Amino acid sequence: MKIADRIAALLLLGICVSGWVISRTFSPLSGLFPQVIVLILGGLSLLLFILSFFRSPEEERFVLVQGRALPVALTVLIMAAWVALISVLGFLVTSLLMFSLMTIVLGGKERTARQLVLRILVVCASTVGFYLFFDRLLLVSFPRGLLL
Amino acid sequence: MNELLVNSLTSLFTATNLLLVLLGVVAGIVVGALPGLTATMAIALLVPFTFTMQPVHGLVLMGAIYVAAIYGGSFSAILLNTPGTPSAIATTFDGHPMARRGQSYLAIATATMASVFGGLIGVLFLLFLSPPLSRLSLRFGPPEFFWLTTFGLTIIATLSKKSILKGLIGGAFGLLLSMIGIAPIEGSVRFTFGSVSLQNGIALIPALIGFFCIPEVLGMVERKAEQYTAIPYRRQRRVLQRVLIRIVRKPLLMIRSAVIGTIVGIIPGAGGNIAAMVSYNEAVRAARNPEQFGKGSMDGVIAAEASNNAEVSGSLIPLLTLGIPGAPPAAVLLGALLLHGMRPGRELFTYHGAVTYTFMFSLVLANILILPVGIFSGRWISRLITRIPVTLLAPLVFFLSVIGSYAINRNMFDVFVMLGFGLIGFAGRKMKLHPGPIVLGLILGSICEQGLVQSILMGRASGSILAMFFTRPLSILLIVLTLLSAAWPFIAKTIRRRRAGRSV
Amino acid sequence: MKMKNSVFRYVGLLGLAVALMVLTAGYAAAGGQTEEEDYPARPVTYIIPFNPGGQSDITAQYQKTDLEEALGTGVVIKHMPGAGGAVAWANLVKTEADGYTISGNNIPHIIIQPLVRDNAGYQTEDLIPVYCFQTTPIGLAVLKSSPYKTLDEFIAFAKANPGTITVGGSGTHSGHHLALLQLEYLTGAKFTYIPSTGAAPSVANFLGGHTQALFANSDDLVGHREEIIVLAIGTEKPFPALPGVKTFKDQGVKMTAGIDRGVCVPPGTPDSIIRTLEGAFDQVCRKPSFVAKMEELGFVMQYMKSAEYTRYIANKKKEMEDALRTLGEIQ
Repeated sequence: MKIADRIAALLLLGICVSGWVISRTFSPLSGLFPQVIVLILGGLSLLLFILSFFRSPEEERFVLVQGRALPVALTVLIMAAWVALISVLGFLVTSLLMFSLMTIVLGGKERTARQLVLRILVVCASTVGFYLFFDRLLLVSFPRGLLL
Repeated sequence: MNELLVNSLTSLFTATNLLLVLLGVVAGIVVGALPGLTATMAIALLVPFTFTMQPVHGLVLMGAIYVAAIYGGSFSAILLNTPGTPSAIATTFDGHPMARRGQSYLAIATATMASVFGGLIGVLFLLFLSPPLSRLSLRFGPPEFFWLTTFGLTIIATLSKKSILKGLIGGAFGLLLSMIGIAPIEGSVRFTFGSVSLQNGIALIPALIGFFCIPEVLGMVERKAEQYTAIPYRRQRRVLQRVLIRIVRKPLLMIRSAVIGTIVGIIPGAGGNIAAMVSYNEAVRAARNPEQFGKGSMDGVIAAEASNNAEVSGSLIPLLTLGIPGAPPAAVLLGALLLHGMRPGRELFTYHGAVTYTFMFSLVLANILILPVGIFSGRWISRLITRIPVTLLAPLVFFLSVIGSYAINRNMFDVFVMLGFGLIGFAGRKMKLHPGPIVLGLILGSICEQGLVQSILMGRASGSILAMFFTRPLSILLIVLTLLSAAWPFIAKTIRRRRAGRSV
Repeated sequence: MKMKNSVFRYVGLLGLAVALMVLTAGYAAAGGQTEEEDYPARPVTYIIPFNPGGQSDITAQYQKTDLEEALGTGVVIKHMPGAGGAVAWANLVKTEADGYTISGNNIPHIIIQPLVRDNAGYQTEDLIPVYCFQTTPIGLAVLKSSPYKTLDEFIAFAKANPGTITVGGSGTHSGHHLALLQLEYLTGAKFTYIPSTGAAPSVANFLGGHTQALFANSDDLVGHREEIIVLAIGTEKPFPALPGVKTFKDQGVKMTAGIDRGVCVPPGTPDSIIRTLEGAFDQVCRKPSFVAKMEELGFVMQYMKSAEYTRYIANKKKEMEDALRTLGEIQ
């Protein structure tokens, strides 16, 4: 955890320094608050950095991902792809695809073909159902992209 | 005046109005319960449809949805650890641990009763104290708002769990993020890195949705090996009795939470997100054994839910009297009012008085209706969630988050914001930088900055900036409150030590 | 056994997805293209750069039905608030100039934003003006308890004590701010501007006594007329809803102050389409029922078609650039 603290503190310090530099380009009253906050945040990050060198009685292990990292990483990728592809392929198609992909990554316990079909049906029904409700009934008009 | 009240009350009891309240309550609970979909979104989507309705019908419907959605957020907060609407953030603190122990139905019943009573207290304030309260709110000028936000920021201590340093860092980080966009004074474009969409700042609701829902989705992925479903099922008995007994035994908790909720609602821009957190904070401070909080204490749920329903009425007070919305959903309601040519102010209570008072009475009804609808649906929803496998739940929560972030402004950029904040939230949690303080900073940042800079300008004009900040009577009161609040952790420790010493 | 199942699942889901994509692609392809001459052949999107319920939105809602009739097609109102309208305008200049997306535009917003912001996302000239239909006049007010009861007294005090009078308004570099800057420019008096994020907060700030004067929209002034004294109103001729209030011009300050509203289209839109839209809006805005409603809400009607509107904007821009440059707000 201490190493993670150190990295976080350094990152924040970096943000503060660049924040400070950028704030100088603002007009005086626009730059006031940013500069104050950046100073406070910078000070606190420095404190965190320094404290990370002292042992503390209740130290916890830093764990980025509990359990296997692969499913989590894949899920993050799917999420990113999902959001990015909505404008390209259209909301409904992207959602159907990505929803299905995510259920695969998460793994299911289907043993029979019947359970599999049921699973597919539920996925499609919920996706299409919500889509129709929001797009047609509430007139939200999701992005169309190339398809739907 | 009395005639007006009586007439408005009777006009509530038409078939259309009653149906609309029922419809609004059911729809509101559904929207609130689904993670990713928020009260603001629900009302925003409905506004164009109400253009063709009579004003009173539109308002009654939206009011019912507002009340019910704020309550409904507790469902997913308790069951899935994702607040269904931002105002349910504080409900996750104690509601979800209860669900983890198999007490999900008890938690929901607690939230229901707390919301009903809290909401009713709030509507009482709205009905009978609006004019004096709004006159009081006018006395709050820029210096007062500044000190008010510093007071709000002292809550960070309670939200920080173990490390106050990290809490403060989170808060400061949230404040920094709130500055992205165009500066309120002198209009410099800040931290937008060339993007025009960022000129509007971080869209608050998508950020909050992402911040709380994404880490939970990823959490489900992490735990999928051990956990087939999100929460276990355990049979719970005599739930309603236990809740009622608790509420009756601790009336002060309920009343204090509702009052806090109403007051925070009155503060423009603050809203339910903050109301519940402040109330939770005060409940922790006032408790004899504060360690119980965060582990599944009914008191925690009561504090959070009573105040967020009271906040609904609180946010309507400045809205109806001054045209200043006290919270994001109220801002949308403002649009609906203006669309029907109903200008906030005295006119609303006199010329349009019948509509306005019927609307307020409908809120009473909506709060009451929450009880049967909530208790009934709560039972089978909590059972249902224990049956849905995580493989379906996780993608569904994400899917709804995407819809919820897009639907408010129909802007894909908001969805990216949602995802970005989701990942930041996930990383933050791993580094023990909890979301509460960051959210606090993000929400209070613009109010704080405006208060600060406007006061500086006023101080310059009047000759002394220091005098502007420190010599106004209301400001002095707030400064004292802030100092007390900041020093509280140490005061509390001293009191506890003395008490322990005495009992030896 | 497990392996077989996951393969089965994968193939099944993939097949379903492909089938759906083929179906929807077919549906989309069947849509087909439309041409300029058929305009408007499908619904037009009317973008409002502000929140629902605001003045731009209310006007558009009242125009919608008549507009659909005049154009012979549906009109979809879409809100795109943000950055004082800049988000919608920056988006508009990137939209296809086929006449199917139009947007409300506001003066002085579209003039000032590109002047004072490094990257507003658009240039004033990029938004092709189609029609201007209304103005909301802006006026200057003080509380009834104020020591200065006329514009002259107000300006005299300010000249004697530069910077001590605080004047509230909505937004930085907005119509209100600009009105104050013009007042300073034309009279030589100095004030301190206290901007709020929105009209209602600025009014509340003023009513609470935290600012000594206020620039506000006519409807706010009318709504609170019992508690305030309106020193001047920014119309050309006296404003009917505020009887007894003199205009700035009548009191020797040669300025008008107001927020003008109209519609615009992306750059490069064919002239024929602009003519069609112009004609439709003209028809809608001259309807007696519409005029009555607008005047009831406190707006002053305008009927400027594209060419006149473009000239108006160019003139206003020159006026503002001079004032802003002299006051040091821009280089």
